[in-house]
Amino acid sequence: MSMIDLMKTRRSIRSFLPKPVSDEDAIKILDAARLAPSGGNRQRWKFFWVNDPQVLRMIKNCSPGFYGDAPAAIIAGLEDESGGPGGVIGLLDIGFAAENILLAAHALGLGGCAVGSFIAASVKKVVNAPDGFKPVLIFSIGYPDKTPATPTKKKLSEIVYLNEYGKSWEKLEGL
Amino acid sequence: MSETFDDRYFDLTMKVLNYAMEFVNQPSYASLRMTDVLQSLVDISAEIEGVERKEFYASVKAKFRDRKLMTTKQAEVDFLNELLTLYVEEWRRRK
Repeated sequence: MSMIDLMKTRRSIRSFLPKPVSDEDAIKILDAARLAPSGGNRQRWKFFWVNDPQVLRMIKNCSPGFYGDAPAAIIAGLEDESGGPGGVIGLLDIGFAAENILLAAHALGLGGCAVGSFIAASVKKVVNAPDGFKPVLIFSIGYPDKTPATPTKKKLSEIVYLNEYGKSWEKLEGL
Repeated sequence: MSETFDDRYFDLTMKVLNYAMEFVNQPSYASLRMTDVLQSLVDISAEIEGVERKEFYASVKAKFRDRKLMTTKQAEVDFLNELLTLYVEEWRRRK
């Protein structure tokens, strides 16, 4: 499947089959995260692969937005450095890595959902993260049980201007 | 994922604790009310058949006995963190 098709067919998966994710696939997904761009190539991110059911259970206890019995999860966060844990650029870096994670999972026949609703202090305590580590996103990962329908997306003509604010691009009419 | 009723009850009470933590920085009483719910769940735990961690809930109950009037947000945050530590330590003991 082409990258464009992967983008078009990826869905946020919140319902999973009780089937483990292989270490090989986990490594491919994490490597895709590693290859994401980062501001100044600083790569301040750290990723936790969580496949221990007991740890996963505790992560879910700390994450109201974590739906479904995913067999694995990824915690993506920023390491502290002088000047704080990355600021907005660091958050954007995690965003770049997030899309790579979700597209790589989809390419491998897996699925997942980015979870922003979690209690960072609790998650840190569960995974023994140091004070300077800031979890930014958690991803549920597993084999999709149900694939949701395509959600409604705004039309290109609604969100794209040509050269000037408010100026529509006729080529986008109907798109 | 939870297998026993005891695990499920532990997970439920820990989720309530996390909801209290989620709301702690909001300008409302939501966090305090969620903490009250947790206290009630802990209070009745000894009477619930299938809840096995009597000693653990007794230690959480003891922590609630020390709960003072929360005059600052930081006091509330610190108290919830102490409860969280009890929960994570209990989980590690049984892991």
